[in-house]
Amino acid sequence: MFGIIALLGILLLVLCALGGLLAEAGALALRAELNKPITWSIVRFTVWQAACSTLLSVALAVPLARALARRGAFLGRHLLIRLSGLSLIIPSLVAVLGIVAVHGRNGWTNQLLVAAGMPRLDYLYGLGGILLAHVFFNMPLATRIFLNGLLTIPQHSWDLARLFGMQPRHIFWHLEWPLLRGLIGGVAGLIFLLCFTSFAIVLTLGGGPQSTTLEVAIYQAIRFDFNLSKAVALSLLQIGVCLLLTAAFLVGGMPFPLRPEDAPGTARPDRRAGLPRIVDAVVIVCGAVFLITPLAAVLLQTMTPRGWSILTTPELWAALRWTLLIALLAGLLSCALALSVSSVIVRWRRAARERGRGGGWVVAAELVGLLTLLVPPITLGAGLFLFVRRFTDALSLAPLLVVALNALLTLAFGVRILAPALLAQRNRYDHLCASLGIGGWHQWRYILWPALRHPLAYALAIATTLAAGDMGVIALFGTAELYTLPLLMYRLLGNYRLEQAAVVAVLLCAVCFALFWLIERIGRLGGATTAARTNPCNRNPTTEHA
Amino acid sequence: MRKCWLLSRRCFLSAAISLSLATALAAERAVLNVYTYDSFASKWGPGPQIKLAFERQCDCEVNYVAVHGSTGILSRVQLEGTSSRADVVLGLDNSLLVEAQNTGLLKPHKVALTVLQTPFAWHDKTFLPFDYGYFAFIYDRTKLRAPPRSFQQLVDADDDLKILIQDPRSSTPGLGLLLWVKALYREQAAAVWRKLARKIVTVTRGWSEAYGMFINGEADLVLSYTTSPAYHMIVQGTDQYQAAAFSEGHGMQIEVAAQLKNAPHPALAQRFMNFIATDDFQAAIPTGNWMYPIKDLADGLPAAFDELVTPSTRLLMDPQHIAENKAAWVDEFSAALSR
Repeated sequence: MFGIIALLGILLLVLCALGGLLAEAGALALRAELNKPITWSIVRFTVWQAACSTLLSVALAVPLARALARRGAFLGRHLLIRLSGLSLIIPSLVAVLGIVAVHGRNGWTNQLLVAAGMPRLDYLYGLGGILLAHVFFNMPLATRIFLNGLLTIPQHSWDLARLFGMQPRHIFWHLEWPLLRGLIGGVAGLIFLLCFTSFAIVLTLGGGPQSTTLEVAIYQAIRFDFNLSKAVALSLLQIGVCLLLTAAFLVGGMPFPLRPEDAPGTARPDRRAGLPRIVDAVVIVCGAVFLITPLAAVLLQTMTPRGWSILTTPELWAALRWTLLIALLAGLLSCALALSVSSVIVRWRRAARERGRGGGWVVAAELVGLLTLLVPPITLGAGLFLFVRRFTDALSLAPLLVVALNALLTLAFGVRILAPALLAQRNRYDHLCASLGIGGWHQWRYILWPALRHPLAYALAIATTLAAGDMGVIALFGTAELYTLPLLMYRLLGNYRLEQAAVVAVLLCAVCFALFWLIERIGRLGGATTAARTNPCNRNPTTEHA
Repeated sequence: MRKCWLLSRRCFLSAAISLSLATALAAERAVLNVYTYDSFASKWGPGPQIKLAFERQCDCEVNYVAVHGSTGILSRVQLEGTSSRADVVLGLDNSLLVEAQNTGLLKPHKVALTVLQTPFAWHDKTFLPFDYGYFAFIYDRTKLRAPPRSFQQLVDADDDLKILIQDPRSSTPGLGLLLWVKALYREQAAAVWRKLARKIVTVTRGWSEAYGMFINGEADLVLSYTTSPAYHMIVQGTDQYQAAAFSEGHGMQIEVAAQLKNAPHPALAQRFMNFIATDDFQAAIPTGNWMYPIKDLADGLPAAFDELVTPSTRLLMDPQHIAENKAAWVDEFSAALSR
């Protein structure tokens, strides 16, 4: 019941936002926008860059995941896997700073080239920069999911592989590829969506008006032209295109980012061979350098005494308080919503399977779970602002709106994480529960909770950190009193205070890391025994919805 | 459907009640809401000093609503419409005057314009200038020995000379450059943009991103203001960064304030408008907003300002002309850069 209310509530909020904009605009000029050639060239560019980014991220993640799976133990492996998981939660504006410092015209790469007597390479700005940044953000996510998948290949498969004397090539095609193939669709779908709606990266690294995505065009329609009907038309176009493309992924299976599982590599027969060893080393080193250098660069930029003076200002601590408050509340709300929506998805999915029809409803419910990832934050924010304005003073509700919007915008991740875990557990135990007459609270407490606490903690950690790094929503509602660390960073940059801004960027990263680590830790506290019991169904989720 | 509707209304109602209770308890004094851009309101901008100075004489509280980026102020006021709590908007500029006027939300400033001691004439009845400056390309003189001496030299320079500019659709310096180019080249503007395109490293959303990248060495020149070097001289003690003086003249930005028709505190808003043209307000401008004040200060300008480039010709376009053509010019810019 909760779930359906949540589902309808989310749908209603999105409709209210679009309605709020439309009511203000007067009329929807969808047809007029669709008839403009510029609209279609924007759509083409958006799809093109998202497709390229997805392809690159996935294609590069496969060898890296394979190398990490094969090399079960090397110094720093654990750290590397941990770090790669964090790329999802690094605020994009911080990462862009780091990427510019490493790959820019005066970046580390070019400084190395010049020192070696070679000409500078101008590869960062334009499509190249967009792809580079998108790969930086999404390749680790894909790697993580693939790695977790590869680690679920059971030991007896490896024993057989050894028995048959399989070459690495055969191992890939017969053991690894079938497993990866099941994961790629979902991973690619999620990455495609993230890249399709990417905003800050395209704006900063795109190079200029030639790299305009739908999300950027919508921002400009609201902020620059104040053309609300155009903004709604473009938003609908974005939602439509995304829904069409992701529906295709969703029909196939249920994609999701797995929780981190740093299980030691199994005893694989292809570990000893010489060539794979070298290849793996190269792949791992390249991956590590690519992922770590931008973070190191941001850290190095803070090495000025003037920057650290920001620590003594009350503004920093006020920003920190707001960031923590907004992030935690938004995270909790997001998780509650995600759990409700997931329960509906799982119920409908199981019902559809039993009856052999009704699959459309499941896809519809999943799409609502994803909807808030497709609607641009500025459309949602401006629309809700206009809607709320009809009833009360929208500005005094700003903190609530910021929390609610952030919760909505991170909802999709929660659903991706929780729904599979919930489905797995229900598939395993529902018949047993029914025959034993366990239901309601007891079923929740003793059957579902033990299996869900880790995914819940992970979902909470992701939603909280994403909300902490949010710039889109807070930029709409920030005031002299209400500002978070990202907004403070922008304000410092706006007043020439680059050194202090760099320190705030590092602090923001530290806050995100700390929140993530802490929440995940709390999720694991005292859960060792239950975790061990429920691990098999977490570890092997693909079989559940094949 | 109907149920949800009622539910949400009730939520809003209870939230509104609790909020109004909170404000009733907290606010004894009237609160003047000033909508401005965030770098003006922030601790490192002129905002806090101005707030203090005004609060000393008004028995009120100044509350800045800091909007992200100066192009956002107008759309924010438009979003809020007649229900806006804004008393004063601070930080629109000369490129937005007609659009701002057309919203019908503003009313005359009623300040005698004779107080202005500006190098440009000003007669507008709605918008009151509070500072001004000139757009300019900034370079690092330890790296660039021979900066261009005119816009034409910049246009004709080798494509190795790299520049950073801002998007005219989201940033006022970006729009300022667009108008600057248009004022100098008129029909040839598109051709000029095509030549400039090869030198442009990237077009950023706002001033901050471009300036940050420039400081990190990403380009030889960045679009900013002639007053930017003053920051480096006064705060950082270095004259490494200089503005390139262009012989054809420099585009100009005049930042203006206006009061709202539906201001909750009209009398306070009027007092604040009067206050803008006083020394107490203007003294915060040179080293707070890094712009020129609109009247001579009792203490004069900081010494570093004497070393700044003073443009030979000021390029200022008619607001009506801007409003009529801006969309077409932005399209021209986008098309030229997209080729």
